[in-house]
Amino acid sequence: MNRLVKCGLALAVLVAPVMAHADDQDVMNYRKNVMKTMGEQNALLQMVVAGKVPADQFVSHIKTLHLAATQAKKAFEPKVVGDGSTGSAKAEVWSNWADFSKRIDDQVTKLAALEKAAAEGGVAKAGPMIATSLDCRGCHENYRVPKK
Amino acid sequence: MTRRTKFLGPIVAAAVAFGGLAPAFAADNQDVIDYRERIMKTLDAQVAVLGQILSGATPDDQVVSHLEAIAEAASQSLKSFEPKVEGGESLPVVWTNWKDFEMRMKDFQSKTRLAADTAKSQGKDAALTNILDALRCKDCHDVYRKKQ
Repeated sequence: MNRLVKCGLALAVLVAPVMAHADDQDVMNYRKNVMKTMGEQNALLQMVVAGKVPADQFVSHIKTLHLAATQAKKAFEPKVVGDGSTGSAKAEVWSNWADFSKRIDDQVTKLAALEKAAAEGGVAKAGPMIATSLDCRGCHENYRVPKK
Repeated sequence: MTRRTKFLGPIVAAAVAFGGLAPAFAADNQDVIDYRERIMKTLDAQVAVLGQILSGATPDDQVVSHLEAIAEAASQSLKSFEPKVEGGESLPVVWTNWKDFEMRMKDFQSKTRLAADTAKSQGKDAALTNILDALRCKDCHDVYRKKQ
């Protein structure tokens, strides 16, 4: 093995953890932005229901929330555990994947029904369904590192 | 009207006219600011994940969904700026130069909608060809948002 190849291999070993870290951060950034979308649109929905803002974009908020929910499962497929600062996903997300993914699927199904109801009957029809359609806390309590 | 309410009437009217009841309205104003900021944060999150995809840091299998979410949030944005409530990150020029602001927002809405529809009908590659032209966030932020 000539010196150049040896140097190349040594460099690769040294650089690899840095690149792996960068990839992990990308994975965490991706899912955090998807969850951020859900958080923001959920907050907007709650503002509409509370009568703080007009209801004319109610359906759009639910549609966006539904879209983000459909993005969530894929965003969590790569197993990158958070530590509470750079990421917030607990290891249980992956050790208990069947339950976690089922909860996301259920959330997507419920939001699809909520969107349909909102499109058909606006706040009057979909408003009463919101509490049972959004189970953010149920999942966060089990799968998210508590905020510091 | 009793003598007392007769007496208070002009005082209340004056207080409203001169902003003496400002705290009650301030709460409403904060709702208006929160509403538009949450919409902009939604856009920020979804544009960020699209940026990750374009840079190759994240798989592109959810491009259609991200473009749809961006188009949906873009459709919410103009309405959220209609109440003239200065504050947050918005500069007063949003309302003093409303025609230009409105034109830019409508352009943003139509281009992001076109990108989302193109992604659905022709695939993600066709949609991403001109995506940077649709997402000219900085052009607007340079003029209408406080420097960060």
